[in-house]
Amino acid sequence: MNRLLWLAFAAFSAYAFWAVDLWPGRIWPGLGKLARISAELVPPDAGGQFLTLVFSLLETLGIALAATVMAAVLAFPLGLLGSAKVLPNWLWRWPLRRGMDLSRSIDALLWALLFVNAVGLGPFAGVMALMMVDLSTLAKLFSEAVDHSSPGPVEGVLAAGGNRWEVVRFGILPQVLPAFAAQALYYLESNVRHATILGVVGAGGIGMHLTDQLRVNEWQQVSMTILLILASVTAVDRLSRWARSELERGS
Amino acid sequence: MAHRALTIDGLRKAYGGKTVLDGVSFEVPAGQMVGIVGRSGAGKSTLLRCINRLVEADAGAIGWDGLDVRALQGGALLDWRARCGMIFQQFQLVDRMDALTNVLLGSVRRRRTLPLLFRVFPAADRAKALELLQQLDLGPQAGQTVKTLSGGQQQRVAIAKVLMQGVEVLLADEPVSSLDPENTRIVMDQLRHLQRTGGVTVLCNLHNLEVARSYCDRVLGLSQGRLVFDGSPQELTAGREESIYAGAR
Repeated sequence: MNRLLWLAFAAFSAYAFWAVDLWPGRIWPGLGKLARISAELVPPDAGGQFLTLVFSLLETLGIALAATVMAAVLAFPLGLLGSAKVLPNWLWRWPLRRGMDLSRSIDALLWALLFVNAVGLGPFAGVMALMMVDLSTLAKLFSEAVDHSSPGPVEGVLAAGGNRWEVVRFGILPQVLPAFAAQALYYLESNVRHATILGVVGAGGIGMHLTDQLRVNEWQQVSMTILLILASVTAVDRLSRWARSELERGS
Repeated sequence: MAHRALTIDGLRKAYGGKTVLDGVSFEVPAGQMVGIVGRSGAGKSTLLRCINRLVEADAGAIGWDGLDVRALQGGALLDWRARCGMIFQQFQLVDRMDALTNVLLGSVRRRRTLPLLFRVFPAADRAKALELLQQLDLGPQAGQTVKTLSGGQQQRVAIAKVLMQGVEVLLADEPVSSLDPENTRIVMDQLRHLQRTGGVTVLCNLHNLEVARSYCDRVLGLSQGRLVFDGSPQELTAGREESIYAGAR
């Protein structure tokens, strides 16, 4: 049985190599071209469009921030309702969790294509696309944090005569809010990276300029754009890592 | 009917076929301090949790002052829990919030839910809670996050909370098992004080027989879900002691 599996694996790998025409000989001419492009990348130059680039980068950051905030706000109630500790009734939890699995399994870029068709070109489609993926992932992470919360404070509030609202507010929320915030920040970082390529399909932000520059072989502008993206991604990562470590210290 | 007493009659509870309470019956007149002893797994915690309905018993009756506790529903059940406070071995406080808020949560049943959810408490309540903390020598710690307090301090916050709650019955589930001798003395003195000056009926699960002997009016012994001893601390001789702790397994 084991051997059969290995055989199938080997056969499928061989097919894959053949199907994508993977051959060492193909990389050599490509390498030469890459070297020529690399030479043309320097020095980076905005081609007189520096401010335009900065503004569309800000738009990218805006897309990421708006998507994360909306996803976190919507995931908050869904995450609570998705946990057995808040809602013991599985009849509602099951479709909720499966629905979240479904929307998460579609990549943001695909959602972006769908939303560009639905609401037109521009950042709004990008925000909706990122939000669709994050909403389901954050809701799932939030419910897991609630599932794993300690029963102690819940018992303490119940024993004093607290109703279910008070149990959630004081028994559960203080335990899970720092985790919720840390996860939302992590998704903010990831969204900034994702938002830079959404422009490729017309969903707003810096990606739109990048595709244009690539199409017309403006390599110096490409390198300037990439440097700007690198700088902003690093800045957001640093900021969010700092905020997360502060959260951990505070909790 | 309305002689004030806590009556437990034929209480049974099983978890998945394993019997934890096997027909426990006793009556505690209001204002008595009762120690419940027995090895772990004897059903002590389950017994207390059946009384405030954190656990639902399978059969039997629980009564207090004419109240049929097992029949209570909705708001009436919450009212009962507010009258019947509980403190725990692991304190079960909201340990990421400050001591004062935890004490204020004792008033949860008397106040409207919405302001409470935003941690808005009446000034009079805040003053009362602070006063209670000061009585327990925790005035300076009122604003401190509970998880940064020592075990003894946390248990005193829990006591301030049930004082805020204004309980008639206090269920104490191993309240001193994770405390050192000094804090054990402080906490047990507080429970005794509550009973003597506040007329609170106290049911206290205890690991340590010496603590039960020196603080309780009456001792109940549980073994394998059955009541095997019911008498004064003086009657709890070495021989009787053995009968409580032997026989299991």
